[in-house]
Amino acid sequence: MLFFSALLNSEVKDNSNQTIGNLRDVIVSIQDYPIVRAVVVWDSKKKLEHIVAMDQVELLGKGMVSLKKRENDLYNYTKQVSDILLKDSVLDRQIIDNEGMNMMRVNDIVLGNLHGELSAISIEIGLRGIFRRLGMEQFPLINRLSPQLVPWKGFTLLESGMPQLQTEQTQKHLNRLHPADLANLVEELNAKRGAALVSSLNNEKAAEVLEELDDDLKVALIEQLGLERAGDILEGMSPDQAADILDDLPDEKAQRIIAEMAPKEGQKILELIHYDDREAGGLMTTDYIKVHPERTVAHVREKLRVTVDDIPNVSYIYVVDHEKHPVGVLSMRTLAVANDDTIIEDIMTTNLFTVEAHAKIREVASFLTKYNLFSIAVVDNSNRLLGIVMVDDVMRQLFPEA
Amino acid sequence: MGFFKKFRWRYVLMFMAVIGPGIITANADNDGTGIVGYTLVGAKYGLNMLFALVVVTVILAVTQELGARIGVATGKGLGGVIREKFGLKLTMIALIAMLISNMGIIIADMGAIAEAMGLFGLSKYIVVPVFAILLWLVLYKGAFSRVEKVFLLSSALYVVYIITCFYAKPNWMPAIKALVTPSIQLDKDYINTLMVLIGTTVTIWGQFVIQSFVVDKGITAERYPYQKAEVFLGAFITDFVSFFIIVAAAATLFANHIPITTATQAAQALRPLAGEQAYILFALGLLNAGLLGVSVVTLSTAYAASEIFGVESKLDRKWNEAPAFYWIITLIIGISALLVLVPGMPLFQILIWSNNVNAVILPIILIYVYKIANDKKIMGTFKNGRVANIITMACIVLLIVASVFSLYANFS
Repeated sequence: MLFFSALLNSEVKDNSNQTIGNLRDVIVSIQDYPIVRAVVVWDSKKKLEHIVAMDQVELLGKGMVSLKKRENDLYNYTKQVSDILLKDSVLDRQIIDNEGMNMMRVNDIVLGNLHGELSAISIEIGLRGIFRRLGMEQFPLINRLSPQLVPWKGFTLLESGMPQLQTEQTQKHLNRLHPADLANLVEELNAKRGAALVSSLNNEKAAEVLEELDDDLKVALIEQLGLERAGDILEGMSPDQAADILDDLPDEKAQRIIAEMAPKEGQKILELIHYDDREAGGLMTTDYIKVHPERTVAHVREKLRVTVDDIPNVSYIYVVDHEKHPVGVLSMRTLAVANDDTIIEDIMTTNLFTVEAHAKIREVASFLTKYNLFSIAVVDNSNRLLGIVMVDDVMRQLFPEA
Repeated sequence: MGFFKKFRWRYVLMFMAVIGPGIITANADNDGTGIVGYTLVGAKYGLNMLFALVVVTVILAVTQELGARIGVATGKGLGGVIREKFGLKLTMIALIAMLISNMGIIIADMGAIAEAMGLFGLSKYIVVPVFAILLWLVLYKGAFSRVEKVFLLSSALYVVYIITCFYAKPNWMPAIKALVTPSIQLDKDYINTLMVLIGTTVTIWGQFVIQSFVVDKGITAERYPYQKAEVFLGAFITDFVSFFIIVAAAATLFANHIPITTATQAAQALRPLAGEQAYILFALGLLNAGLLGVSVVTLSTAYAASEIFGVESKLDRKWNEAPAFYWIITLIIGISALLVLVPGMPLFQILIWSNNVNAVILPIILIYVYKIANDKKIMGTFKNGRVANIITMACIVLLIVASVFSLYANFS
């Protein structure tokens, strides 16, 4: 087991045993276990940097490095796109383990032979690595600490200033983590770096993570993400949640983000945004299923099938006439037992509960509990259907800590 | 006209959105060591050091702005940036410097709590354990963000210094003239007092706190100009209050040749306003400042150390989720409380010495900050320009010269 810290600053000698400089960094190519490609040697006398490819290196060991050639015969290794520098980009940086539960720093790196090639095998994250770097590893008590190692494959580098480290693999990894775990990491990282993490996720995951965060951080993050990306992510959220976030932003910024979104989504959010959080209009969502009374049951079933991704929760189907006035409601049960060619008008319930968009949250809540409803229709002052308030949105507003 | 009006409002709103970091950090700067420090400056040298106060205000503004800018550019705390740029060994030097300075200030602020309650006749052997446990609970339960607002609001208590100052009827013209009249004496006592003035105003922990604050707030690059203005305003407000503390002390303590070696004597500076009850006002102010100081500096130390070692550091985590973080908080509060409890501990002197220690160590951290601010890879477009570099360097050199002088004066 060779520690990278023991290698750093080692004297580098050529084949005539002349010291040509000190080892400054190591270049590896990124893969599951990165293979060492070259060493960076700094000749402090000549003020010259050699990048010596591994085929010119005779021996690489603790405190000593020897080369196969004389200094003047060395040729420089050409850095590849997939290469990174261990000291510059990995050592002392922050990493997360692939379970996404912990964030820590790279205290040291373990090198070893793997399939006949010197590779970076694991990362030291424990106290012993810190003492080793301070030259105190052999002190009593400290030498009893056991090294804490995570395999190179088992972690993700958070940021390193080298974009090639944000590989496809890293992104796949992050996207696999639970939104709540990612949200914890984002909180730990704060707005700017949290935004960098969120922007490496896909839009859907990013929206889920955003929904988990507290309001202040949510807004700060959206500001850091940039208009276009923010628009894309907000599109993936339910319109009422997106409207809540945009509501906390300065008006001008919110308008510009909405302008980045697909017109249809943007329109929905705009309708929601000018209501207060604690009135029906602010609580409602515009994601619900509405049909005209003359349609058939088969049509409704088809509609349920195609909207399965966009509208995850459906308790009632709302029936509206051509002026958007609500005329009835259809429960899922009625729908389930009806024949395909039945006309909706014949099976819908016509006593439908509605509230006005400016109705207060208490009023909405008492309606929902009094009549045992999962959701209630919200209408404007000329009785046109605007959206629906679901019971869980009311609960979330009333008991935010739950 | 309508457009013009709207335009101006937009700026005002943008400014309101960035309020916090500069003003709050600066306000916390007037902790227990601050109140006693400025009182001492006024009591010993009257108006003589007001010019130095102006210079120190500039240094405060410059260094705080650097911290805020690094925060915006990196999105990281100072501890993390230092570790990533300088590697572990140099980071340890920064960490030790920070720990020495912060411990000094925390012990001093714990002492300030004891001194303040002492004015009410309460023994430190009762007061210190009680407040230490309370402070620990507040920090451990993560209630600090709520309590912080109370402390900051009550720091409006400093207004009494401004009022007192008018009651004491000082000669305003000499005071204002002193602001622009350079004056320096080269004796040990003067240098030490000057170091107190520097050390209580520009602090190592302040450097860490401003940066974390800006990072927490998630200030974007486009909002930075407003943040910068806010940081400058914060530096100005702090020293605006300091000005009145010094003038009040000058008009009372200095004018009547009252030396200041105890809290009771320091309270005399408030006499023109509060008469014989001056010590009540002073005691309340000192207690508040001490509590604020212990909590802010303890938290900042724990955050910085956690960030350097890369361990979890969130206030709302459980003990076993962030053990190192909570151990640091517990140890700091425990050790400082125990030291203050040692019989015969010269609490009032410690308040003054801690400022000296901070002033001597300060340039070390500022050199790290300077190097970071000049690293294109870290700072990008926020890199220090040439003018900023000259000003920063001038500040650092001034601080080093003062430190060397004070070490020379004290140890030769």
